[in-house]
Amino acid sequence: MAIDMALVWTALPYLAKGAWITTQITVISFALGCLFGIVLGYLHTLRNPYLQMPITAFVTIIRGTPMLIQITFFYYVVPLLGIDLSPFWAAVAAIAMNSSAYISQIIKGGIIGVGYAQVEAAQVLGLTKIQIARYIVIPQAVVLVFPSLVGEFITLLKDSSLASVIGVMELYKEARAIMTQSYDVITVFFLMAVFYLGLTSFFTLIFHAIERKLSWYVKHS
Amino acid sequence: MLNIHNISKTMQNKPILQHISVQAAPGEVVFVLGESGAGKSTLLRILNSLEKKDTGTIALNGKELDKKAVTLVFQHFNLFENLTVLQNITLALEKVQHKNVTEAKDIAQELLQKYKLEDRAAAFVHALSGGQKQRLAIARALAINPSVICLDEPTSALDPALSNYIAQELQQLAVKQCIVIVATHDMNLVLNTKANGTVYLLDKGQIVETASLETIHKDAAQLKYLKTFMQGEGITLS
Repeated sequence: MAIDMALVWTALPYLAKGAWITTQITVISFALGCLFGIVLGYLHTLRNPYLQMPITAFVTIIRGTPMLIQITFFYYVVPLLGIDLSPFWAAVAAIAMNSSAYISQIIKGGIIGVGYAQVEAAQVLGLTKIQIARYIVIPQAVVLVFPSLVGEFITLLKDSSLASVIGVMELYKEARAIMTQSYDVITVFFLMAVFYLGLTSFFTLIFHAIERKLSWYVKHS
Repeated sequence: MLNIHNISKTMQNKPILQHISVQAAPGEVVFVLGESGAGKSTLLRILNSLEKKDTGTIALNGKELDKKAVTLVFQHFNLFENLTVLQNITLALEKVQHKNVTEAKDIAQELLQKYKLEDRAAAFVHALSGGQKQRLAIARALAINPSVICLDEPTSALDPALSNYIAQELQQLAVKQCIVIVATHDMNLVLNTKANGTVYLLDKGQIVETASLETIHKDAAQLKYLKTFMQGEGITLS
């Protein structure tokens, strides 16, 4: 039940490579998820049934089905529609889509939290709906929900291990490969935990620094 | 000339405004006085297209009032919290009036200087005092060069001692040939404002009394409803 230091040194480059792939999947998926999530969240707050119905359906389907199924759908079903995706991009597309559904609801809550007074103030100055969203509502909403967005990022980072089922050599898949060869479950699990913990701690620190920068205009109540 | 004619508004089967008619010329200050719930703010919101009117017309110089010719200083200022003091003013100049960055900044700097906020240009709204917020709200409204400027309860969020200061601001706005419309229940503000204009006393959505500011300054005691209103506000007439 001891850690094999020789295996640690052998495994480190492979795990570091896997951690880099994990980071890439998470960052790209989160960025795309934010982009679509912000648009969907904003559209969801508009009182337009033609927008609300499809967005509600999308969010319900995505949140109601496992991410594992969504990843395999993008890898096995989407190519049947003529769109070939590498395992990496299939995973990114699925995780981004999953994330956009959750982020849309986080942003929707933030937009509601900004309050209509800010919108009216912009309206009387003559700004259009798009300008009000772009310059006033969404920047304030993002700051309000920033801690929830950080939580979503950390969840994605851990969930990205599901990309291993379609062969993406991310952190978990690399660790599994080393485990299969070495049979040293304890050392590999220990290393895997250290890497995941290191990644989540690193990104949490970065996000906390961003949060401090963003908090200049948050009301001190 | 601003001509508000026969405005009525009902909300949830309750009449909020009934047959309101108000006239004002450039350089005049119009006070819409009344208790809370009298319909003062609703009238300003209708003028600023934030509410729809049921009936009536609003015309400026004989034409339907253009949204861009009127603006509103809100009771709680509603300043943009994610923008700096300077950006609060330049946003509409750049995005609505399509002025270039330098031009917008110059206009904003001039207003900040006039309203004694030039040293707070880079500050965010939460760092301003109540008086500074009020001045910024007025500066932001004036930046777009409106023909009609509405102020909703301009003294309610401020220290009572600042009432005289707001009265001076209203006089300044009138000097700029703006049509100034003020919804308030602060009678001291009316008494402290030395400008041409009219006071409309609103009660349950109806105008119950109209008088020129000059009449009010000289002999408010002759106005039946206004006298009662002032007594309710704790102001005794000799």
